[in-house]
Amino acid sequence: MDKLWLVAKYEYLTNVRKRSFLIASLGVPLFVIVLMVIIFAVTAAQFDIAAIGAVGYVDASGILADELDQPDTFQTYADETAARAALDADEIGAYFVVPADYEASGRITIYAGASVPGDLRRQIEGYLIANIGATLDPVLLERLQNPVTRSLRTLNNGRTITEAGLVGLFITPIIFVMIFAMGSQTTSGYLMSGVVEEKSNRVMEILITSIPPFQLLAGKIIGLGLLGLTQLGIWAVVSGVIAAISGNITALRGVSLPPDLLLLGLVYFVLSYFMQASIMAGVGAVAGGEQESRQLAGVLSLIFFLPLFFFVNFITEPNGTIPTILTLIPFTAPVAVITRASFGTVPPSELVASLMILIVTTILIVWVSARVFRWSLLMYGKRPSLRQMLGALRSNRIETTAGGETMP
Amino acid sequence: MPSAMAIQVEHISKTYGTFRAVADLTFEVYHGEIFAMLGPNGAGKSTTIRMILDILKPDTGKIAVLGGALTQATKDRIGYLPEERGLYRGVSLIEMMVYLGTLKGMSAADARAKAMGYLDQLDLAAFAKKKVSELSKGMQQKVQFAVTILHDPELIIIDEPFSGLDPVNTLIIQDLLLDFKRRGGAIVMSTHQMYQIEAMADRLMMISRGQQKLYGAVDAVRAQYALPAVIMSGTGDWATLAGVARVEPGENGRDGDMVYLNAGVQSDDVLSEIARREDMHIRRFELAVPSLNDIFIQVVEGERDGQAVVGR
Repeated sequence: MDKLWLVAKYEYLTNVRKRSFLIASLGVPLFVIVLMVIIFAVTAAQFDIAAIGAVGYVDASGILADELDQPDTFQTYADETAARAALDADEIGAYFVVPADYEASGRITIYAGASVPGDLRRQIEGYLIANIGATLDPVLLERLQNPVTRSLRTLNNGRTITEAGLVGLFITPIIFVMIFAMGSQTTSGYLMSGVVEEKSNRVMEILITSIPPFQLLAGKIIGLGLLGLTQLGIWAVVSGVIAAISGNITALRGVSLPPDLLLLGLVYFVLSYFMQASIMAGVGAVAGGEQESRQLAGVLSLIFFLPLFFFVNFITEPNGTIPTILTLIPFTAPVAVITRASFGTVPPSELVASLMILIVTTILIVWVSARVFRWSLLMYGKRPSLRQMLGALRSNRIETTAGGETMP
Repeated sequence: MPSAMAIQVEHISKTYGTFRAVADLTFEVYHGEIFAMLGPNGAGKSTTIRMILDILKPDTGKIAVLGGALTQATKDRIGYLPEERGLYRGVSLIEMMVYLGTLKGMSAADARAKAMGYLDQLDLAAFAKKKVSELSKGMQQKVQFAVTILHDPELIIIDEPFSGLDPVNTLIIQDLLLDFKRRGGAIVMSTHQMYQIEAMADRLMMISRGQQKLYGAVDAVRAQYALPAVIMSGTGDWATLAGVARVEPGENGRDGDMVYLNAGVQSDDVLSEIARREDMHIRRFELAVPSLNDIFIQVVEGERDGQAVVGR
């Protein structure tokens, strides 16, 4: 079994130094974070009420006479000329005028140097509501002021989300799914192209006269699995560092990874990696060449990411039929479970069922793949037909080596 | 007790579906010899090699390698150079050699030292840290050969070791092979280059359509196909010699006359008569032993004719 570790070590060391690995390890988190900052910055520009500074207003209607719940930044002016002068003097960033007929028309006018952030509009509305509703039942008033936030919160069963985390709620699962899926995909992709290369340059023949095929396959899967974990580790560290450096990016404040989600992600990453890596090894061994194997791998990853096409179902109905089915299908389970878990909770019974199915399928696929892998190595130049492959699985006799290394 | 036989193959057969790739082959390979395997494309050479190497399992028959059934430990004592081979392209030479060496059970340090030694010997020391993709084809061939013998195997099986090599590199590889043989190693060499076999091999086996056509010492096989004729050049009328059946004068391209002898006549007797005759001077006197190339073609063509007869 020593040779298994030699293979693992070699696969790890040669791939960890590949330029593509470095680019993926350092570039992906950088890219994701830059992307997030941009997305948030664009949206935040409209939020950023602080940039406006003080806000003046002129109340001709008398609605705001009591100045109930007046925001700290608001100050009243006697008339528009005074407010305008203050705006020109940069004492205030904006001012609004509540005309005398406001109660009837509901119309106000906002004057600002630049664009008006959405939050300012909300602030003004809130201020107006507080004053108009002064005579209302306080409970009713509260409902009037916050009619929707509570119902949004029910989406999340297990976790508390701050208002700021609301965007994070949607962003997190997507990023998280991407990270884990890309991790297991890139590494199993390395495995596949490695096998294709060794097959085409015949190093494979030297390898299998040096080491039993099963040990070779296991060594590759373990070595590249560790590579995948390294990549996840690098992503975590780099993301952490970047986040720390730019800790004051308000945009990223709401994004956090709960530890249970992280653990779940790791478990599913490891399992789905074993499954994908074995499939890829089998595909690499059977495929006619680099291009063909890539096409096959593409189809596989499409299946893998299938749950993302049903993203809407996961948001509106995280425990509905489609998410449940996708949780139970082993190929879609990793993405489905992580997506569901970040929106809400997956019922424990479903989680257990999903894990069991995934584990059993993975073991089965590793077994099948090992046989296809070993057997197809002998089929140089000839394409195995599906019937031959099935035959290879059924028969113990077929093309096994006289050394008879044992299969698990 | 160390066996004198490196490989012992008894009655092996292999059928793919309805195609009989190898039919009842029996042969032996000894330590300290170069054993050539030849035959037309698709004759079953590669299948035979794969069965010896335990990549394929024969349908019937027995194979003993280095004294017994092939085990993982035995595999460490074998070197194999496949046909149409390549190397890892993106890895440095030394790294790849150490990896393949350690897979054969060497320690990393030992593999590194040996690899550097061979690279030195092959004028490739400067390329040790270079990637394979930066090497010329001939250089890659030499590296592949070095990988094959890196772990000091007792038996090497090499498929077309000289294909694509220039004359200088061919000589280098030849020397390494002969050196390996002198140290008692067994070499199984599959090749199409007949002159290489004539120059290097001790024994040969020719297979065609999975069947053994020729087997034995190279000289013996050639003698077996020797014509009852002598190639002679000089002055004199060879037809006047006792025991000469007919003379075919030297034609375009062939230097010397082909002198066919009557049955039972020894070439030595003819030579001594020439020595006695005043009217004859001899410059060249050579048994008409066909080249392996001729024999190869003869065997393969003969088989094709045989097929035709059956077809009728």
